[in-house]
Amino acid sequence: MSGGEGGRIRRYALSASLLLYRQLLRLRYPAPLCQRFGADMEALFRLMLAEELERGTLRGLVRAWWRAVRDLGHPLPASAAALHDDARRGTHRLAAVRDDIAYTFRSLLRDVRFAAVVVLVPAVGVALTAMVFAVVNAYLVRPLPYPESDRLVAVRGIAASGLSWDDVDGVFERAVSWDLDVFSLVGGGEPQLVSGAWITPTFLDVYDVRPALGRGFLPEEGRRGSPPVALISDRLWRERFGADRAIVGRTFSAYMSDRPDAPESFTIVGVLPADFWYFNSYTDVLAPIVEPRTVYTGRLREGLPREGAAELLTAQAHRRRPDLPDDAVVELVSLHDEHVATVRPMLLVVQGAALLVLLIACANTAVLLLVRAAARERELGVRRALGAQTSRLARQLLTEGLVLAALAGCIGLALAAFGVHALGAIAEQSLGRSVPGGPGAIRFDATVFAATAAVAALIGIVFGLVPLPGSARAALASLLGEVGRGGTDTRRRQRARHVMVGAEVALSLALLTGAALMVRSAVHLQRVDPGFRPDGISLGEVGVRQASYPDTAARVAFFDRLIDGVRAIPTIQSAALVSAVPFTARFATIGVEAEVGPGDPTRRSETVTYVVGEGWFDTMEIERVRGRDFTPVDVAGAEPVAIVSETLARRLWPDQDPVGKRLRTLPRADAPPDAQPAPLRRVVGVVADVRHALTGPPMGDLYMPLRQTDRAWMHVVVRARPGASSPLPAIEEVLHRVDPVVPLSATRQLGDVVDDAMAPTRFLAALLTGFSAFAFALAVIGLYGVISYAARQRRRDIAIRMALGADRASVARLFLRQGMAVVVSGILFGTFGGYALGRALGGQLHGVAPGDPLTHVLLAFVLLVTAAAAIWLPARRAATAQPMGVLRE
Amino acid sequence: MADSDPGATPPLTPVVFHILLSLSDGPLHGYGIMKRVEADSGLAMGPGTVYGSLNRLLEWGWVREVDPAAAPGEDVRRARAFELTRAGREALKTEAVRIARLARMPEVRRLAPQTGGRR
Repeated sequence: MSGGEGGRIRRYALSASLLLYRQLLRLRYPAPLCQRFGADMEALFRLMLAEELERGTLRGLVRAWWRAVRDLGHPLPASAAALHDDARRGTHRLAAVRDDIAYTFRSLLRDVRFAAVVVLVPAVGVALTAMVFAVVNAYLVRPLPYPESDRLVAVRGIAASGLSWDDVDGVFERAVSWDLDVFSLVGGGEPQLVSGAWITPTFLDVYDVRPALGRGFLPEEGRRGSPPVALISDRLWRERFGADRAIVGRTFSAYMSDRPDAPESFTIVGVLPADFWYFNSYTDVLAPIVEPRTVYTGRLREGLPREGAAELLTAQAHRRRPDLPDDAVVELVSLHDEHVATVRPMLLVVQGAALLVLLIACANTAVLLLVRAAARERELGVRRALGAQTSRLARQLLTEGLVLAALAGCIGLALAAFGVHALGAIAEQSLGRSVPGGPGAIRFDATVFAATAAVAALIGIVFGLVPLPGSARAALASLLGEVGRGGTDTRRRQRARHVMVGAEVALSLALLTGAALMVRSAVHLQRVDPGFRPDGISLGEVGVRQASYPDTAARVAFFDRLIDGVRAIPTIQSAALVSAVPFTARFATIGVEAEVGPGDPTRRSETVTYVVGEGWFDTMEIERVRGRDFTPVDVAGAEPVAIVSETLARRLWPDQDPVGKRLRTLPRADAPPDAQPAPLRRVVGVVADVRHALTGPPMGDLYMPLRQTDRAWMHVVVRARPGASSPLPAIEEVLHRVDPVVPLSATRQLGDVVDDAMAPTRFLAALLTGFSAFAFALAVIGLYGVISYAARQRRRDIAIRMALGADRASVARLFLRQGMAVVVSGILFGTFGGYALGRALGGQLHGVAPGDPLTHVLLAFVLLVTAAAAIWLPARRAATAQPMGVLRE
Repeated sequence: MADSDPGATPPLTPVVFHILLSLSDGPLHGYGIMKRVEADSGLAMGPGTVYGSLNRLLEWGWVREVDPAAAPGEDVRRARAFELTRAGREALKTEAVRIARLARMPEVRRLAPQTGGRR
């Protein structure tokens, strides 16, 4: 494991080094030499590096690069005369750079505190950016962990239902179909429920996966009547089969949700590799699918564009199903895009925010450098006067900037490297999507390294150039004696400082706004009334097998015995059965048609449907508005009844009492044309709306009684008495008494489920709050630093004013005016920035608009007050200095 | 003869001298040159110095390229190999004589113990 990881790091080091070395060669040597020997030099460097890497990655890297850099700095014989020793006179360019680097380190060490701030602050910015980019890279940039994964597509669109398995041969090299299933393993230990799937036998070839043990499926194992075989996951192999290496050929027994009564026996043909990643988690048991109908994904034939393939499939679907609506199409979505569709906007916002933090951190350092550059004006002026070339001085400043940026980059990367391992779990939990390739796929690879290095280089150039315009002028200024007078700041540099601080204020306000909007969204979601009370509700799923319970009556009897037993548990307050629990699944709407009045035309709408047993509304504490609940008299033979939510009632019968009216559900768009129409149901009650997710408008709910429908799967929903422990073990006991082979699956607490739905919003809110707090602190520090500096610079000026009779308040006001001008323009820009960030957050905002006036005004005010304090403190200090003391200095 | 008056040409740089010296036993690849120089003198050259110098030496006709197979080394078969020309060998010899004379000077002035055989 560590060997593999080490090998990978070594390979990255090697390839990144080669890339960098190639660029350096181009820069260092004249083109003819590069053309002639460039490849040889690279090859030699590669050999040298590979040899050094044998001694250890880091050591080898440092040794090889040390040698390479010295080599690049070595002068080449430039002419016939230069072959000889005496031609080495004069300063070599790279030797000068070396001197500059040494000089930078010396001056940094002279003022460690300054160095720490100047390096560490951007380092934190780099670390944040690199970590976020590592996540972005794993989700959005790097292809899925399958070869030629751009040819893998998912089949979507209304017309997809019209496709037959035989239609797709011309489009897909291999198509994959699957049926997700839950297998209850029996024998050899406790019964255990695992998620699995019936899948196309050749799916391993589509994803190019080789089993860790045994083999994949043979094509003929997908035929009806061939003996059942299975592949199991590495996890199941370890946890249930004790990592037995001789597992291949052994059998296990399992019940399936829709299979005959007796458990089926599967022969294990292989174990999937530990690093096998699939975009859903139904991979513990995989068995060949028999006679697949629906194509879900596939590998497109080589060279076939996605759009063209989709058109072909659409035409096929219409040929086979002429009743499809004309505008129904088959869509092919890249498997990667489909997997990351929900996380993309969030990740881009986080990446943007991290870059803003980095920008602020850099602006902060730039301000400090500017302040110092002003202080160094005299030093540069002297050097210039002593004959240093401007270009030479410029190069020194650039070198300093690059050294600072390189240090910041290295420290930032090191910080990020510590944090990156924890990111996988955090990202999956808060984004609600698995990382392509598994949580370990969030790591530093060549892309992340290169991007971070590029960012660091950019910072370096900026740092190097920031003090430049002033210093070029400095030469002139020193001649005119301006610098020599000591203390008067150049106007241009002052403006540059103000722009930087203003930018800091603006950017931090933008981030603060984004954070505040997200916090308000999180608070809003926290306060959303789901229409029921999730706390104290426990859930479990129960399914009965066709063979044991062949008809509706038998199944109803089973559920009756179960719910009666559950209600008898003393710690349970109430219990009910339901077909689907809000927040635990994605709800699709179906059409519904209502009788408006006798003889009147019908009215149609969309709704979500639930099948519920008695006591559902009381257990969930859903408010009953009118009419009655379902009772045991609502049986199969009696008149079909229904209960509607207020929203559905309003849509179907806007001004009428819905109780007593009739409605029926409409067939789905993809239902066969000869399907039976659903029966008309009489509305017997109206209940409050229930939310199916935290966001979005109410969808309208239609409830139907369990006794008048036919269900083999139901969820048991119980509300425990206050203070009671989890009732799930007691429910399992009851279930075991009713039927010993039916397992209770998907058990959880509804409170947790609702809470999880808020995770992405809370995550974004927390992240942006952290980012903006850091940014805000930097902006305030920057402001304080600039005003302190200005105050120090203008000591003499102030002293003269005060000696001439100006009072302290008026002097302090002078600085306040100057500082607040910067702050106010920063706030103006920042408000726009905040609005833009709010717009970018778009779908992540709930219950608050990007332009929310309260948020903007409040934050602007907070920033204004804080900034005023940051300015007032140094201004006040300047004003309290003794004027005569300053003037005598 | 050049070696009769070594003072007539300025001395070679150490790098050039060592590259020429490394080739004195027969053709080598760039990698072989680097390794040989390092083993002989401890002078750690890098790719730029090796090929940058070879480029010049080729221009002045002191070395020439040969069939890569003529040089030893398994993993560098496809790299270019070089050998000394007549002129290169002459230059090396001149420099060697100069150094040898130089080395004898301290002995002559009794600044260093005399080297073996010479009494």
